[in-house]
Amino acid sequence: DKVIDKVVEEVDEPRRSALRKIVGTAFVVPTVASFSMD
Amino acid sequence: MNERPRHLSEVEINPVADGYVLYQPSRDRVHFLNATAVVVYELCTGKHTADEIAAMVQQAYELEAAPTAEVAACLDNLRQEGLVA
Repeated sequence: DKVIDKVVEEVDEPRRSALRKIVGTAFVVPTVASFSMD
Repeated sequence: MNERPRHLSEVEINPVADGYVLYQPSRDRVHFLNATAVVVYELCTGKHTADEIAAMVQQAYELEAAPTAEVAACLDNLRQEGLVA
């Protein structure tokens, strides 16, 4: 919880609530999938 | 690594059930970040080094070791896509 607080305090509402809602997830390798909208 | 990554371009952020969908109007590209990548992305505030971000991810998920390589790879990907600098 302490670290979640530290992470979410970095962002402003309303994203803060959305971000907090990381709670209960397990670590997975961070991935970014990108594609063109063309 | 002493660089402190920060958000670069204006993006539209859409939180979804398992991550973020980001739309980057300047490049007309869409990016899907999974939950851990969201944590990495949100910590790119210009205040933390890559190693500090990895340490925070380690604490957050109570891992035995900091996922330094995984976080570095994620940051490289975000940099290549022009999302952080």
